[in-house]
Amino acid sequence: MAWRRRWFYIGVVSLIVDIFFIADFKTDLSAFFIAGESAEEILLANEMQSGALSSRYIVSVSSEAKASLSSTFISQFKSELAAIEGIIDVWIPGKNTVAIAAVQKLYVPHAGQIYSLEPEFYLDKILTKNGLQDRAAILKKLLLSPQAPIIKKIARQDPLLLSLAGFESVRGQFKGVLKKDQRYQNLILQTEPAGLDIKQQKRIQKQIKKVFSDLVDNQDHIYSLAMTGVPVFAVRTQQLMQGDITKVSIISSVLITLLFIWVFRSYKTLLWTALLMVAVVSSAVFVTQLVFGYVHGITLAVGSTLIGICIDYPIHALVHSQAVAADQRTDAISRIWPSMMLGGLTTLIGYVALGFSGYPGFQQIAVYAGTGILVSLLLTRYVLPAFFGKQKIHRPTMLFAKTWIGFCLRYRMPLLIVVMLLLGLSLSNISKLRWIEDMQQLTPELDQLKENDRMIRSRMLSSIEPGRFVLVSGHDIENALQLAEQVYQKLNALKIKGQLHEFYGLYPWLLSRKQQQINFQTLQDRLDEKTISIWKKALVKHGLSVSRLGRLEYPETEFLTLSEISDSPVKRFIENQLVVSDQRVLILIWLAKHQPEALDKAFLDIPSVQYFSQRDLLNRMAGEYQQRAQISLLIGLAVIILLLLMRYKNLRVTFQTLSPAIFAAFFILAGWVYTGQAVSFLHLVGFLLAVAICVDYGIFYRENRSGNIVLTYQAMAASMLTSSLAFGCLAIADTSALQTLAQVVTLGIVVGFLLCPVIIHPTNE
Amino acid sequence: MFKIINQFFGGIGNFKMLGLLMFFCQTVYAQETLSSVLARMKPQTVVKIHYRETRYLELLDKPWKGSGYFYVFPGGMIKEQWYPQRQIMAVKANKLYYFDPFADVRYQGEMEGDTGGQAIAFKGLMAGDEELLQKFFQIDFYNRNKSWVLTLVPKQPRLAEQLSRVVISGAINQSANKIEIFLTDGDRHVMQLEATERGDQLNHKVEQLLTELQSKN
Repeated sequence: MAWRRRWFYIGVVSLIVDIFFIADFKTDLSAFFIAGESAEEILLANEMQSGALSSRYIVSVSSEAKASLSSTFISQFKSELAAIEGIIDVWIPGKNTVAIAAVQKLYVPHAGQIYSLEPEFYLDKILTKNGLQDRAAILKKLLLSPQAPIIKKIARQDPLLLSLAGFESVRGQFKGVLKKDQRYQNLILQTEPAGLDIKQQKRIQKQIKKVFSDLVDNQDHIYSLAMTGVPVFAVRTQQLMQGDITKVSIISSVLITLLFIWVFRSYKTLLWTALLMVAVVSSAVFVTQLVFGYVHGITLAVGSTLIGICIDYPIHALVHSQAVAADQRTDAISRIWPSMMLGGLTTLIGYVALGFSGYPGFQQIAVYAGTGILVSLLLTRYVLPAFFGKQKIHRPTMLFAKTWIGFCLRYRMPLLIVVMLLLGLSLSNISKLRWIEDMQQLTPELDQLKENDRMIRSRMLSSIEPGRFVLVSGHDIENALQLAEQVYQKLNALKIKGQLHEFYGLYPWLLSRKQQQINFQTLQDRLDEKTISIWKKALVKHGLSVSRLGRLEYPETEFLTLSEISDSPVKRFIENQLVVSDQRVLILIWLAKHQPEALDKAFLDIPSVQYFSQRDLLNRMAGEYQQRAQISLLIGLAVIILLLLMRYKNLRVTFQTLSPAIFAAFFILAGWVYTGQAVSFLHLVGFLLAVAICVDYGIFYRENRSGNIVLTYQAMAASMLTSSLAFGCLAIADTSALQTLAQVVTLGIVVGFLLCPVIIHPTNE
Repeated sequence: MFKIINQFFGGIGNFKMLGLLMFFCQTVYAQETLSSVLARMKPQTVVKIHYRETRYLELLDKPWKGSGYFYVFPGGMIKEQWYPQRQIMAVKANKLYYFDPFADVRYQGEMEGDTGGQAIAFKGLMAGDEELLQKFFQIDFYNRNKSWVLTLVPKQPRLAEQLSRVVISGAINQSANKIEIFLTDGDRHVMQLEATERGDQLNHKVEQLLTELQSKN
């Protein structure tokens, strides 16, 4: 036996060392919960997690008093924000002098290629006698206007000002900025670290707050600061999660330790079991790291309940082994081993089914828990006996279990009738169960941030409806741009019908090469001598220089490309609308107020284009998760039934063994119906776990391998207490997903345990 | 900031003229140093100055002409253009105002000091802050025959991209009567100035114009 202990110690130490060097712990919640079905959804999910948009903040300063904000203050704040390490750009929406200069530099050489999406129509309008007269008048007015320095530069290359033609809509957006409310100001910050680089984002947020409070303290302003963006949500979520992991781990460890000491009154036993649990957790972390390349924080948080389950096996073994003479302890464990194996397998099935429920992170939990359960079973069978040898350990009495089983054995029939009546009542109401349809409701802990986000975005002057857009998917940028240009036409038609107020595509910032070629060719065809002569007359009439402006030469240049834009400050205008990967390019066309049904219908005939709502996507995902959770639950149950059938070869016995778990689940469902609590797929997941764990009790009770049903029930009671305690501790978490699991699983375990002596008639009694 | 100043003050020429007009309401004495002139920069009362502006632009066949009045007062000034179309623009304390009644374009905001050398220069002139002017401009001040001449050449590359130099001149013991702005692309703006009235009776007119500029509608 000593060699087993030695190998065990060596194994545990090596695992811990390995974990120290290779384990990569992540806390990104969206990676855990959000995944896409299609290539587009996956790309979008990635963009949400690490794209340019994810590393952008909207910082909002507001004046508490009725007075306007001081723009000197805003200017100073802006400069100081830009000086924070990791912030690569700060700008006021709609007010960007660098970008305006860049527009002129970037687009004027391509004037003949970018002027319109409908070149024939556009040129028909301007290349007439009246059209050219108007154009000359506008040019003169602009040359004498405040914009003269820019217009001069443009007119020398592009006398017809074709390069400005597409920017009418953008000018409209800027015009809105002039009429803004002076009591607040939004600033946009682009950070170099990804939005989910929690360490860096936490530092940046801290510095933003410090810079603001220092400035406010130095000046006599009563201003307040608010900020939103993916990094704000990410940091908050990480704080929640870190808090939860710490709280749940510490409290559940302390409580399970106390419970263990109370049950066994032995520190040595505690030490052995703790060592086994260290081995279990280390193996689980190690295998998860090997399979996924990282271990998620939620896996650890939910996984901490694993201790509560895995400890069941050594506890069960300890209780049974203390009921026999010291030299028969290994045999006692061997005797109950088949029950433990079957129980372990059913629990394992629960966790594996969980892995298929749709939440990407639950696959990790399945691997983590599966490893833990298997290792715990093996250690209980082959290593635990090597520890306790011939030492005498306190035999737990579990008075409440003894009393309850006594009561049940005495009044089994009446109790059974009551249980069956309750079951009937529960089943009759189960159809009234209410389901959560909005996935936002799953994270009420972030409600304040969501409200803050809504408030800040309402201060943005843009009328863009957040999270709703037309998604264009192409196999390369040219393909995507060509599709987008078809979409613009459809959107314009919707605007005319009044079904869409405005849309914000990539035009005029970027056009397909095809459209640029058409524009260029159309212009060349239309700029004949007659047109040029009319233009020269118009210039003379308005006192403009014919020698400087009369030539109308629009030479063919290289096409305007995405890489050209990406290298200029203009990129900030389009980077929130483009997602580029090796295989796919997505263009997001933002929408102002619109009728979703009309938009939905408009693109049915273009397969690579769809009207997209982030909220609808999340809710659809919730629906899919719910369906999958239901299927997982059914498959999980079917496999458990199959296993029990294989063991008992009797349908009635199988059903009886399974009944406490199933009945407990139905009672809980009925409880939700009566309390009116809406349930989500998370409840179903918890439900599945509760059943998987509860079946163990049914098996232990049914098989009663010690031949002493009271002893078996006492052992089960010790296991039930640790499991329910471990899951119950999740209730103190701030993350509502964990609270849901705590509620469902703990209730399920306790009720299932209490039902065993009522429903099951044990063998070997 | 540079673009904003341009937007609201009719380009580089107008803005510079506004700033430099602060000289106009002061009497400059021969043999005075720049420091002593700047020390008396702040006007004590409202001064109404008629101006005639000529722009020599490469892209126009003929020079463009405009005219109107400046109102210079303690802490600010207003330019009211009457010909060829009415426009009003002003600087008061740290704020900029612009109103084009024909285009119905209006703006008001505070001057930002982070990027606009011109704005800083303007503030320097208004406040008689020689240190600030020295920081952004190469200053040349001298007497020639019976007149004085002040030349400002931008030091900052960004400002120097468009503005070559500004020359302000006036007769000895007289206010400035001419401002010439030379742009790097060869364009030139000339402003002839003539004080027509001064005194507190103009306060009402100043208030009226400021109200029009600050009006929300």
